[in-house]
Amino acid sequence: MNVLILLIFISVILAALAVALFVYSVRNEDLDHSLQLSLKPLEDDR
Amino acid sequence: MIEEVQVTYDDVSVRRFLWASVLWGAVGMLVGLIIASQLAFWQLNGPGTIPWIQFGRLRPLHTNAVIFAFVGNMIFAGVYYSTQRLLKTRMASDFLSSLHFWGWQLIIVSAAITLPLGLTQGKEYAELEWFIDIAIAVIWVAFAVNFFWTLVKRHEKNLYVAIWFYIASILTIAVLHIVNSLALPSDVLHSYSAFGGVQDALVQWWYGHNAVAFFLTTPILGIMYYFMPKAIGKPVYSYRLSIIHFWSLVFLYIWAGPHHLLNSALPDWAQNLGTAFSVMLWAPSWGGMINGLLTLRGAWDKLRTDPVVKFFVAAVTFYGMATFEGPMLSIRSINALAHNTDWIISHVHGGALGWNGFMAAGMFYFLVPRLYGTKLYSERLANLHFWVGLVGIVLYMASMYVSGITQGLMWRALTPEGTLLYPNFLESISASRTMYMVRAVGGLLYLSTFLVMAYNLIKTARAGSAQTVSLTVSVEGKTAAKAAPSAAQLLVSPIMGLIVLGLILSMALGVQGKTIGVGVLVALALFALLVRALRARGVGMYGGTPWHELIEGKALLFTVLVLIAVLIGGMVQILPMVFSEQAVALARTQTPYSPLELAGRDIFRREGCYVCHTQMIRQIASESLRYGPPSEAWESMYDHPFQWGSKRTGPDLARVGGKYPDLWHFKHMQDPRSTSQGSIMPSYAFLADSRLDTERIPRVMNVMRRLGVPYDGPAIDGAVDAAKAQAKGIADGLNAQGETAAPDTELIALIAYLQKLGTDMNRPQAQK
Repeated sequence: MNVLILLIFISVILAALAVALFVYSVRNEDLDHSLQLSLKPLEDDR
Repeated sequence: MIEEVQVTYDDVSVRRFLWASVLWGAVGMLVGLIIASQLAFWQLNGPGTIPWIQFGRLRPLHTNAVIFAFVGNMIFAGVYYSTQRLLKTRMASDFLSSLHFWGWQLIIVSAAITLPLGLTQGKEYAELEWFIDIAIAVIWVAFAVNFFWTLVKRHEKNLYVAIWFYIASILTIAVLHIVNSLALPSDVLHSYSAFGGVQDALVQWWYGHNAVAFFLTTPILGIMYYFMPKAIGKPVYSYRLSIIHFWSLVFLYIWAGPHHLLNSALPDWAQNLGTAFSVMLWAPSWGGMINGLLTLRGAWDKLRTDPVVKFFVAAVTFYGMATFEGPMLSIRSINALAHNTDWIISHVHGGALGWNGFMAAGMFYFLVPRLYGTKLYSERLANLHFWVGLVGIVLYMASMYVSGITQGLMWRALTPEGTLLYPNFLESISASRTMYMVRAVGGLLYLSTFLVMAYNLIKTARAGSAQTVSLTVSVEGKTAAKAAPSAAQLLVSPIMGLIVLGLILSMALGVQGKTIGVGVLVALALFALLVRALRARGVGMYGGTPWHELIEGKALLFTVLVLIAVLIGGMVQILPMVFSEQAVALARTQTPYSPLELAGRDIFRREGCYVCHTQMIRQIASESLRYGPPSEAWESMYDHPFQWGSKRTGPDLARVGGKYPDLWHFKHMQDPRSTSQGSIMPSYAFLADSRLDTERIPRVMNVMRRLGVPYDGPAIDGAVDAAKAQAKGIADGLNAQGETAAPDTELIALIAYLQKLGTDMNRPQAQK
């Protein structure tokens, strides 16, 4: 059962890292260019 | 500066692949209906004198035809159509496009000939023999060269999300196919897997699972991201979500293969990795599913009026269901109930019929009117296709859920005294017979409506004419090109974070030592400090361009990053398993098969016995009660290929050796009902007349020796005589009991093989 503590600890770290990466990505406006790109398939190409 | 460029799309290739998909889809599903009917009515296997119509040989034909011929051609049609339009350029090489098309069809025809003939490598979804495998690799490379060459000469700077999925699919399938197909030929028509036993099992399911992931899923997701917005007339719900969907999916998917081997002799560390990453897959899979469905925001009325949208929405819903169920089935306790039963067949067909089949239908209904410059011949027929096909899927899946859960529960049911409640395996099969009939009806409905679709599409095409699309595109001139990002910039990007996260997680799950655990945490801290330092220096943005937009415009860099993300999971799992003795603890060594047993094993493989019989007693109490002690990795270490199987329509055979006398096998193979009332196994009466090719045996042993099986020169030189002597002993015993058994027949060799299985466990042997 001791391994549970380690697993929870690592999981919390990983979750915190994931949140940090997300915040970083939002602050950097990494994905803000995407509105224009999402229109690509809709261009009239027959 | 804006330039105007004239582009003429290659829609000839699109039309070719589309019609090939329709044709092979009908063939593959027809074979599926035949084998479903054979399970409901064993008599349809014939009298036991026509081997090529029997279940064991036709089942691989069905799976290969549906996966690689139907879905494969559908993918190529979608990729060729959308890639040209998204990149505003024609496919780079008409020659390579033609080579790809005709080469792929030749491969399909080769498969359709060789599989019923029993030419198989004996690995699920990778049955095709070595010479076809080489052809697949060549044609796939031709496709890849054509595709990436098109990326190079594109007139659109940024790559749309659909293209990312195509890149990941093309790269990963190449890697999977080449590694899993590594084999040594013994002659022109036969070969043996380079991997053996547990290693072969891991490599095979790394391939098998990711054939589902990167052949049946990621390219179809690319098609979804292109064709759904197109059909609906709205952009995808969230392009940002699609970025997260893509990277997390391609990174996580590759790790999940071991969930096909839970509770088996595969080392625990690999099983745990498979489970953990399978559960993690819930998030990206559902992210993609929700992204697809919400693309309909504000246009839900089209679901009622437009058959194309109807098919797409149902397909994406099936994708959601299948990707919820997949991770759920990867949890050990649920897997213990579901694995080897028809539940998995239901799960697979939810994906194949619902996700792949309906995406294909939606795409075909969208494409054919445009490719032929006309309207769809009949929306009513398309609606009929949808509703009756849907009923077919529901009947198929529901019946297989019922039979699968019934089988799982019956196999594990115990009396109050702790003995098996249903000790006769055939009770579970008898309980499933009605459901097998319902399944066949469901399949018949689905196939019928597929043919309705084919009729509708042909009528549509004949009402119009093949169109040639030529248009002028505006292209940004070559402005000052920006340099690729530096290593430091990449280091602080989320993608690199994702890779590091994966490495850390894999190590945390795969190791138990405190030293390495502490090392992981220190490395984590150092990485965080490094990122912080780089951020403090202002690294992270590139000239005002966000990192992802930057790599979207750099096809080569993007491709390399995809390859890295995909390869990590494979390397962490496969390399230790193949190269580290510590990764696979083998307690003892397997006794190599005698020459006759080896020949019998080839017959077992040729007849596809592994599609109904496992050779893996899982670490589950009820399995031990039924079959004996759990299988251990060393017991199959010289098995090239492994024959652990994945489905039990018949009982496990891992310890069948010595369980029954030779006479029982002799009668059972020729008339299974004579010894096993209620059996649905085909008769293998022809084996009693087929002469065994003993001359092949030394060649096979030589190949085995090169693969590491300890056969020495004298054993190989005397193989033919040894085989004949052993066969004579078995035949004499049978004849003494009133049978007429010829020692030089294949049936005798097969009996020898079956009588060997599992006997090593009782044989005194020094510890390794």
